[in-house]
Amino acid sequence: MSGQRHPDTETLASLRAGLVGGLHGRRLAAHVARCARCAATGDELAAVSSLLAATPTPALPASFERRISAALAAETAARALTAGSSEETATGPAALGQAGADPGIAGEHARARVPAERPKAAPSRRRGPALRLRPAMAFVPLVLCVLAGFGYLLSTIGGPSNGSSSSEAFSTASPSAAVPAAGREAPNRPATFVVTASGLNYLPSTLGSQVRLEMAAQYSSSSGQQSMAPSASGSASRNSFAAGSATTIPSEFGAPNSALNGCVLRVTGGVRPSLVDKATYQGQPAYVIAVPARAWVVERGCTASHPAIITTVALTATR
Amino acid sequence: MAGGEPSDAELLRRHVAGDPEAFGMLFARHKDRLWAVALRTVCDPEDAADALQEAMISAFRRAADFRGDSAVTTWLHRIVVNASLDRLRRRQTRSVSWSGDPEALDALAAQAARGGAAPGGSPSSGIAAQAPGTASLDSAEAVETRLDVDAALRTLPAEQRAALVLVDMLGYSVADAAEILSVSPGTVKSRCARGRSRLLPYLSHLRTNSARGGNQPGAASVSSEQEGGV
Repeated sequence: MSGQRHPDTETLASLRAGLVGGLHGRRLAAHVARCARCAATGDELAAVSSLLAATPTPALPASFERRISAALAAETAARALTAGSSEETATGPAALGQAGADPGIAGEHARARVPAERPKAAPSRRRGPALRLRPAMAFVPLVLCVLAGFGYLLSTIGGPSNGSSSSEAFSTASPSAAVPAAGREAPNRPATFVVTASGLNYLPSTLGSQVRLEMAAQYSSSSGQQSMAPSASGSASRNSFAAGSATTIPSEFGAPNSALNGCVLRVTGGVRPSLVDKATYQGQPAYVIAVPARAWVVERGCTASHPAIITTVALTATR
Repeated sequence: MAGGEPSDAELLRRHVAGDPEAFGMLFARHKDRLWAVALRTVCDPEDAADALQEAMISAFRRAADFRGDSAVTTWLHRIVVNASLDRLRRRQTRSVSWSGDPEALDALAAQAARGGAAPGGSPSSGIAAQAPGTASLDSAEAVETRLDVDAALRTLPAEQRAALVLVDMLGYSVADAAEILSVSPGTVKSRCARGRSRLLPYLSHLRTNSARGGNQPGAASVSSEQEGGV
């Protein structure tokens, strides 16, 4: 190639990028130096770079920033919960206390707090939260007992509206309440649940972990609730995992919604859900329903006869 | 890092140590740049936001893995780029084909017109949204140019686009881009070279319109990493 034929654009771009060396490179460079056409192409290539550099890059839109910040806040809450609950449950063995403050020290607990030590992101995302939640799961019966007792107190002391509306709303709830954890242990027992509106946008790739985190966030807000003043309305939108008549229905769901109730019972097979979240899935309105081992995404129009399940995912699978 | 601001590495250390604020600060500090990488790589605001969210969650959890042999920003960018490429692989149909784009362009143009009135408003106005300081420079011609650049970038294979976005658009050195993309510097150079040559037919008309002045500086900045072999 001694100047008769023009190199193609990609070759010129490679030459400019310093990728064509040796004799070939020197010949090409010599050609470009005395060929107006190739020199012009070289200028145009440079102009592509400068045009790209001059194109403004937008700032992160506020709506996205809120969404991502919320997701990070949920992570933070889940992490705090895990750290907190492992302190409470692991009373005996090795006072790991501030577990994981130094990841090098506290072996198992560090792994639970910062689960993704595996090389690839995807599997760790799946497995991580399962590990993370294990201490939280152990914590559940305790939370339930305390909550149920607390709910009983509430219904006897202050909250006639609260208690009665819940048993109306989901007629399957036991009216006499305070039957701790029974709903959880007997699969055939009808469900009692609270509908949350997390505002999360669930995604296929992270559905399992988002559900686990949301469940964890609810456990943590439940346990937070015990220590809070028993204001019946205080539990409005981001409501907690509830047992028996301690169930508090967010105001927007105060009216009985038998369609949703039927849908949930149908989907879970009668098991009381740990989570019923009015949210979006890939941007589309949906309910996310979960029991400890499985989550479902259903359309908003889901009913007992037409469950309209969009997708489902196992939560404990170790894959 | 003069003044009282903690460094990125310090924030990451605090996060690993359990500080609930630290990671949020890190995100706030770099969000716009990370967003730019995600948006330009994925070419769709919704998908880019999803990718960025996945990436941030992943970084949050994997913070203890950070070894400090690269800058925190490089590490964050790598996670964002990987999440973006992952997302593209999952939604290939939308990104690869050029065929549907005339309509997409019309929609984008309409969006950009509205976006000028209410910047940063709806999630779908991501492409049209401007960095706060640049809004006033947003002439019709500039919008058009940006849309053309967006559309042209969309014609590239994702790997070439990611390299070009990092090096040419965001001004990373070839070495940094190589680290972010986990490939050799030579691979970055060759992806950029191929990307530029593929973009040329789509963008050459813009050069005659608007890039006269920017021509030389651009050439100079690029050639600084190219001298070697010639």
